[in-house]
Amino acid sequence: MIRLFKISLLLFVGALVLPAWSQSSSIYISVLGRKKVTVVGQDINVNGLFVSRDGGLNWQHKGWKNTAIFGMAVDQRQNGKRLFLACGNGVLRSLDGGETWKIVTDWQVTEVQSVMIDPNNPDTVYLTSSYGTWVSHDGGDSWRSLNQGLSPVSLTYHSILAIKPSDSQTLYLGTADGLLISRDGGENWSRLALAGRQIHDLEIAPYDENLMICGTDVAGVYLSRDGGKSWRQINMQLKGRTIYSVEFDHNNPGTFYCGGYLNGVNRTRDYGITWEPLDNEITDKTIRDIKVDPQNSTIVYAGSLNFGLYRSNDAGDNFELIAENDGQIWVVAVQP
Amino acid sequence: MKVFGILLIAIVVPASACLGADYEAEYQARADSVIDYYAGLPFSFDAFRAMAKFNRQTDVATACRIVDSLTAKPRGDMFWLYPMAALYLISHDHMPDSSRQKIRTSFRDYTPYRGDTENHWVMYYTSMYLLAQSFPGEPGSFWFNGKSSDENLADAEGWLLHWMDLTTTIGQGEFDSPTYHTFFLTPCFLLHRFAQDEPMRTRAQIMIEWLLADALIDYLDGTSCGAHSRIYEVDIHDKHYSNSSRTIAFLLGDRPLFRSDGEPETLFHNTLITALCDYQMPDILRRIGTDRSQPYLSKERKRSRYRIRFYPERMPLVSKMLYMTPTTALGSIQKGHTEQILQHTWALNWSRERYGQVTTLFTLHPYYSARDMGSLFTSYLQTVVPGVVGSKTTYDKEEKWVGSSPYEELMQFENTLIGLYDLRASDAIYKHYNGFFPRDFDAFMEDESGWIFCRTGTVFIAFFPFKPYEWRQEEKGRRLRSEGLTNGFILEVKQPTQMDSFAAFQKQIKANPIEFVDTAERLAVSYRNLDSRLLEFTYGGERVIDGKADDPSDYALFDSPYVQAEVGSRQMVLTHGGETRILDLDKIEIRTLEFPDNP
Repeated sequence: MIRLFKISLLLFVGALVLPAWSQSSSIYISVLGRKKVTVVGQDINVNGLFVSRDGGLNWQHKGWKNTAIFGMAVDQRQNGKRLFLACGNGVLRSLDGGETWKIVTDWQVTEVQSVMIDPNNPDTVYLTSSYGTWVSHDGGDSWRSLNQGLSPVSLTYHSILAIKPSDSQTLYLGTADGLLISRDGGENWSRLALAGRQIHDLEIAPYDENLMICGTDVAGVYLSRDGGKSWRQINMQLKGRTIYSVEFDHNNPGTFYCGGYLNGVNRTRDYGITWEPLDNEITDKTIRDIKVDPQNSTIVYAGSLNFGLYRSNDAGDNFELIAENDGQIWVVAVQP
Repeated sequence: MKVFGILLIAIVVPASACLGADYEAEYQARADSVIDYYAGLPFSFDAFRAMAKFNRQTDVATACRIVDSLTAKPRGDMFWLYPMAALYLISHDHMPDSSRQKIRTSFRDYTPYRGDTENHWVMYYTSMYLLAQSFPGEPGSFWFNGKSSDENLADAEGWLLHWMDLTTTIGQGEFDSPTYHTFFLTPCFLLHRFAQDEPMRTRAQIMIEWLLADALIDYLDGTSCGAHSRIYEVDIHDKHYSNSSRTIAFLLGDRPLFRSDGEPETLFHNTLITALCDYQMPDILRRIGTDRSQPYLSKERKRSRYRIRFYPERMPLVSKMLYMTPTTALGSIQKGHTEQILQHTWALNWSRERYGQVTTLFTLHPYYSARDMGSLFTSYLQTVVPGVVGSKTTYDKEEKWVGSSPYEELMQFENTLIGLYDLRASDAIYKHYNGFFPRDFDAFMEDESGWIFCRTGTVFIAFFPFKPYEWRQEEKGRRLRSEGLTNGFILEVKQPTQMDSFAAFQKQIKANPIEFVDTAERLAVSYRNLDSRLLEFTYGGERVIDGKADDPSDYALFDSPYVQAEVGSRQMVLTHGGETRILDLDKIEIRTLEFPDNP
């Protein structure tokens, strides 16, 4: 009993003195490629999915070693047991935390860009690809195309899909030719806004589903405060105009981040009226993905295309390289 | 498609009736020599020589070492999967059980990417189809992708049928590629040899013959002629040694596989699979590939490589034309682009008179574009061009010899070609076009009239550039470089036997009237050729021949005296020398009809 008390005390004290990130969430990253390997004998790069369950101290590779992962979804309910990866070969699914995998899509699905689980109906899973969007209503066992009436082909190039939190039938789709909306779960689509703009990322604020931001190719960041009906460009102070990733601070309304081609990480605290370029320890300025830890919004992750995963413990004021100094980080996911 | 009205009186013979005994014996001798050659090669990370060694039961220990190496550290994605599947299928009964097990296990442990172009997918899905049927009833845990044998079989069959349907209704995607044609053909040989399902075997045979007809109609003197969807710089000046030419050389037997010292001359590793698959080409295809006694025009409809954004359609139409004579072939893409990286938009080819002679002439506008690459690849536009240049190193270079441009338009009528360039757009980075003139002319002269005349024993060429140019000497010939925001040329070709002399050719060409309109609003040419045909061509506008509008968007899939196929038909009709052979994908059958009195 005394021994148990000592251990508990040790853990308690440890929790007090350990940094916040060490008590935080599991981190998932996809490594798309690497700098040229010069290690003798290591002639096959290990890319793909890496997971850390201790805040980034230790990493474990999961699954295929040579796959290109462009998106991922972690089932929050199942403590990361159920995972979906958006890959060139289709969607890979694991039901055991990444130990075994199956391509659950068929030959018609290729070049998958993103995959997401409907938070209200976890058996409903969407994938977006450069050939359109598909849905599964049985957890990924079977898929159905949701591309009826979409033409020309730029309207079937789907980078990202967002689900309205209060109404899973309302879907927003980022395409190579603007934003589309469906109010019937993807059966029918209509143009919403930003025709002619290529959309790279789209986020709905977790605290206000009428507040949306999207990152575009060469046109910067757009913001809507009326559920997508109207959008305005919020580019002041941004050094570059190609934005690959946008991310809300879950706890601080008006604060969000963006990053993209040669842009570094940028932060606004006033809904995009002003931006701060966070010129910090991130030596490469092309940022592919930014994620805020849902448990602690002072922790921000940034994945760089050339190269590495960076973390900030002070809401972006400072970053440190925590993994993959030779890896192109395409996706970052954080599981509470 | 006029043949059906008279087919009732024809004698129907089995499709298996193919070639004479001589050809069969010669083919078998060639096949044996290929297998023997690969069986005698030393150790390498090469599945092909392993399958030859196993099949000959020669140096089996080395073959086993090769299997060990290829399964210990697999790499190469579908380029690994396809030869490993072939090795397993072809040599299954000739290898020790330990090698069989290692190969089988590698299909569980190695995770090949299926690729992003159609030739990748043919290799990948043919492999998966044949492997899935080889291991029936196995669960997903026995396969790298987690799918069961049944699921893999259904998935692969789905793609293969889809590809066959596309190709036989709206045309081949990566068409007439000197590099990649064989990577469509050889998987079909495997499918034809090893598919357990009889309809699938017949479908495979239909596709083999469809692909061969497509290649052979453009074949002259050991080369694939005219325009190509994809070709690399290594083959552009001499296509005699392209993968496709070497594969056809093996099937036709028209060129030696080996040099006199025993080293390979036209040998290519895919031909080993062909040799081991027991396929016998029907004689009608051999005749279509070799009979050049009469000139003919071949029009074909193809489709673009898949476009994923920035295009109105997924697979826009591509129209191509080729005019074949006994010694020359002029071919061009008349409408559309299959891709911008490796497309060869037009070429004149002629028969060579001596070994090593360079026998091609062509022009191109060097063009590159992030947006065009973005239409093919999912990469970001900011990084897609460097990504392409990483493997296709000349893509963004001003002196490249392969690639297409949206600012080049061509109009061909038989042996006459007009090219126009409008390079005023801001994304036309380079404001010149390049022309390749080979080194091996017997005569080459620049006439004060502006015409450039060239001659060999098999071709007379007249080339008229509209704007000033300069020459740059290169290893294989000379480069014509002509600057100008608007530009163009006229090319006319004759066989020497058609003219009294080269001097007469020059004199008559110079008498042909040319009108070149080059204003801010209009870029156009009017030219009356040696056959007194009036060609009128406006950039971005009309093309008119003898007052009649010409529309390259309504071509059939194949339209020539020997090969016919209508859009949407799933059917090809081969006709030659009193024989008609019908490849019918709808009925999944091949029918041959002979007309004995119509040689």
